[in-house]
Amino acid sequence: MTFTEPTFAWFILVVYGLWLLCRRVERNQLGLLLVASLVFYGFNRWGLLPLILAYAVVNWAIGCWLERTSRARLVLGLGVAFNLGVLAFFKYTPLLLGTLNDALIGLGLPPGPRVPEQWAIPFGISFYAFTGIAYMVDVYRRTTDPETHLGRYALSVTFFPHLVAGPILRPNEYLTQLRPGCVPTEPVAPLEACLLIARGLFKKMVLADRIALAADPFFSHVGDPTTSGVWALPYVYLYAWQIFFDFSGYTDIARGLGLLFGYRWPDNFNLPYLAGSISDFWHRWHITLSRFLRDYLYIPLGGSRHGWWRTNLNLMVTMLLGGLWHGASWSFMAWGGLHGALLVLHRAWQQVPFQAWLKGLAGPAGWLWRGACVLLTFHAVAFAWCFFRLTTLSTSWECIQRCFRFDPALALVGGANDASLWLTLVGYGLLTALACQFEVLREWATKHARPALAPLANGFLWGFGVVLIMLALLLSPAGKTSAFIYFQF
Amino acid sequence: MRQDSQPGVSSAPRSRGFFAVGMILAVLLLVGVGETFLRYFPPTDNREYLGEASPLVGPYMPDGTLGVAYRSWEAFRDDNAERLAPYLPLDKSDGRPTWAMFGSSFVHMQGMLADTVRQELPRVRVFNLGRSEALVVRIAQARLLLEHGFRPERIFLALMPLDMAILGQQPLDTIRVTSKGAITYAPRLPPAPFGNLIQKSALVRTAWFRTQQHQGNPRFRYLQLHREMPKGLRNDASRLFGELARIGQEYAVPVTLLLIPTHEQIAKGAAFAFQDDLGPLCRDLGLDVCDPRSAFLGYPNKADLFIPDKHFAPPGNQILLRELQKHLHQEVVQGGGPS
Repeated sequence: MTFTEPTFAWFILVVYGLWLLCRRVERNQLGLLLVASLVFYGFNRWGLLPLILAYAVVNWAIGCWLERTSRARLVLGLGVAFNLGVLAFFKYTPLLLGTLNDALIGLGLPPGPRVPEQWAIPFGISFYAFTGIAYMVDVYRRTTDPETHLGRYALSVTFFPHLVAGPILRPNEYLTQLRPGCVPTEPVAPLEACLLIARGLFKKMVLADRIALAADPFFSHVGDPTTSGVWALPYVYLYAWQIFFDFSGYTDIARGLGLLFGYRWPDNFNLPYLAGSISDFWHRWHITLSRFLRDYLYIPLGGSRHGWWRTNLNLMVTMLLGGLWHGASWSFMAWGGLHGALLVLHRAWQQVPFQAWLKGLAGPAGWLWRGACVLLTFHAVAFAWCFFRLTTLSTSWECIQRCFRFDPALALVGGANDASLWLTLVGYGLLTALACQFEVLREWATKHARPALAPLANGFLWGFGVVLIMLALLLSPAGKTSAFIYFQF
Repeated sequence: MRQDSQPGVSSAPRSRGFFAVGMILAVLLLVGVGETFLRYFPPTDNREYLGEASPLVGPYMPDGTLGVAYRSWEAFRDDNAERLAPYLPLDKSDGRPTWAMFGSSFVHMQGMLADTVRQELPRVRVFNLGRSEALVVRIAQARLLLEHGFRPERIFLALMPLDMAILGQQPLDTIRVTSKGAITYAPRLPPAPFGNLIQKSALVRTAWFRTQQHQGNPRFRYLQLHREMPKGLRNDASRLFGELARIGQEYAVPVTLLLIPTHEQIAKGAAFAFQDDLGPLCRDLGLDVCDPRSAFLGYPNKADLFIPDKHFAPPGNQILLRELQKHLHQEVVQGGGPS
């Protein structure tokens, strides 16, 4: 089940209703949430439950062991090896076998074993593997105490709002709130929760799914003559927005649900397409993954402590592996490598004195320069998304070439010519701006004791949130929603 | 100190009042935006139920018997240009008898059977338009082709329970062909005043449609066809297959209905109510019916008959063809027509 399915609506109503009844008794509350989370995960495939439970038990045991052992590094290594090994087995076996067989066939040799047709990557495994690694490493570094209670630890891993696609939480962002006496019994900021859930549903069901309807036919036929001459750039833009709305929509819903249960989790997105550089982009996009890669991969590799060339190498390795984490294909690795190369290029640009002068420009010239940086960064990211969307290197490159080589008569055809799509995007922007104005008004009115304006703004925002949820259900283009993009990771 | 900022009993109702005003403002704004948007851009799942307001277009016109017919031969030809081209002119012949193979949904299923016939019986020329079409459209195509001189040796209509599912949900009397030639359906509406509201408001209409209660038979589930053939569906089948039998007799082209068993029936033990009901009904109407279930039920390793998406694998299609040939041979022996 996913957040946008009717089944989930019933699920959350029942679970939240029971939570409201039993939240004052800590043991009952934790038991309820753990059982509900396991039901949520197992609902699609019950056979996956032993896997996630194995992750929970092993990581918990490693955490306890780390506290007592004198060979902490070895024990940590075992734990990380388990997490990554199982992840790699499920995720990368088809890729490795496929590549091996292609090589054997290319050499004229008989192909090797093939992966069974029913092979499927357990959904969420990339996320809960990383959550486990973060826990074990933080225990090793003594930045968090090991959790002695298996049930509490298991809940920190399996809690359904963040289980399948993040945010990737640190122990001090969630696990510490499950410790005795710390478990919340009240929702946090219910209005914010309502607005987040509403915004997330709207982003996914109305915006991302509508873009998918328009753009998928193009991307399905990039490699063949059906789309010959069609201008690819509008579709590249559309996909950049689709993946943003899809993933940030999921995160909004996850964070909103977390707030309902009393947990405040970090945001995963901070206006990423307003980034002025590729480095800035990775501080704004999938923030919890970026910091995971920074703290648990880039820094242990040496970070920026060993000179220019080693730093760039560390960046490339981090981004290549980050790309591979997203998907088991060489195209994902290319996507990661492209971002790594852009980061290295950015670092080189930072060394150029002219760059500092441009950065220091003020007034209209400064705005122009910053605007140009934002546009350039957006286009670099958007072109890189081609490798993310199209799973082969050849079609990805073909797509980029078609941004510059096209028939002007076919500039805006197909889904890119759908007026309702562009209207929806503009309309969403305007509504978001309006809601932000009322949030600012509410804060100002509360701060300045304006007894009329504060409740007016409050009422507006509550009405906005509730009706936006209804509009998300009714304005979705086809009545049925597709899976979240990041669920496949 | 401002009067309205003084604490007291009187400020709470005012706060609630302002809260309500704010909420009403938001509701009116968003409902207005949503209503306007849906009026101009109805969702794709609504379009078949909007009647003349539907943006859908098509090559069809209303028909008293089938519900749907093609506006003209040209409209049919243009709608199937690529797939029909190899068979034109219709009286073209390469000396081989023609088997006109029609299926309804599941273009892959019908396509695979047609391909099996091409491979196994090179003495036969196969006519197959491919592309999934509703059953009513398929029969309308057969009628139009015969009216324009198409004379196959035999017409085959491959049918599975799922092919009748759309009629189970949307009976023939709900079909409305618009002036733009599109097939739409009259939505089922609740009684007034809610029904009136649905007709007036795009938002309420969409909400009603999304509950799936707008369908002609919202409780119909295709799997129930394994257990029983509902009376309404039986009546519609009688009308449709009666017309098929009539045109077969009028143009002296025998028609064979091939009742294909489903994965659930072969591998999971589901009942055969669909075939048990439809077979005799169609025979009474004058159609030839081939029901190959026993060959499938007797197959030792049933899993081999299917590909993962539950369409027939090559062995399944070969069994179909073999059973069809046996049936046709029996038909000829009993004086039913050419084989």
